[in-house]
Amino acid sequence: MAALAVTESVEFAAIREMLGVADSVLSKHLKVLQDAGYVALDKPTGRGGRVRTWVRPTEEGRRAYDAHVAALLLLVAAGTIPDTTPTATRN
Amino acid sequence: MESDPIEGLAQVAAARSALADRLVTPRWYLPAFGAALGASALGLGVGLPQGLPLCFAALVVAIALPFIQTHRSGVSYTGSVRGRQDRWIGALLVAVLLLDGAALLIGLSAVPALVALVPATLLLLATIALGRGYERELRAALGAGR
Repeated sequence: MAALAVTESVEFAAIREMLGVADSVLSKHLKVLQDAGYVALDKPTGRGGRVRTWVRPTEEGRRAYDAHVAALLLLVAAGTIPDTTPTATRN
Repeated sequence: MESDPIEGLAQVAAARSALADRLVTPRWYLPAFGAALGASALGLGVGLPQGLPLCFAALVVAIALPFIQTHRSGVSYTGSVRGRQDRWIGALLVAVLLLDGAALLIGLSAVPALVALVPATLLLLATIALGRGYERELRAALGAGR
């Protein structure tokens, strides 16, 4: 999402190369993001019928990403990391 | 999702750096883009309507090149990251306006059309120089960005 958030869209193969992961791994993660409404997948048919999948961040995805980074920055600024272990949560 | 915020921010920075590397244009791109803009100035300098086909063809190439680069890199960048790179784009727009204006004046005057090579060449060189500056600043902004 860090790379996607500042782009209009990024092609599937470009993301795969940037992250250095296999097609199946990337597909799985994109499916999760798509189901959450954070990205949309476009498959315009190119010349010769070749389909290139472009991944586009949604407004909701951008907002969620910005909020996530803001939270990370707050945690770093505060110098504390919340303890979210089950024991800590119960107490 | 990462649990360590410092590690999370480091991952963000790494992803942005990878994106910045991907956005760097190939060596031929800026000279080709500059040549197209220069050719449009030359078309204006030759005088209208004789120079119109050259001007039109050059503009088509100048508009097509960013699309080709987007297709090649696999990244469609929105320009949403604000930074000093915006100044370089602004400077390029000013250069295009001034040099195209100068070329147009040459075309309208009795000055030999060959003189239009001056603004055309300057536009080619300005595009390469300012375009490199833009890419350098964009890489820095994306690499440092959150």
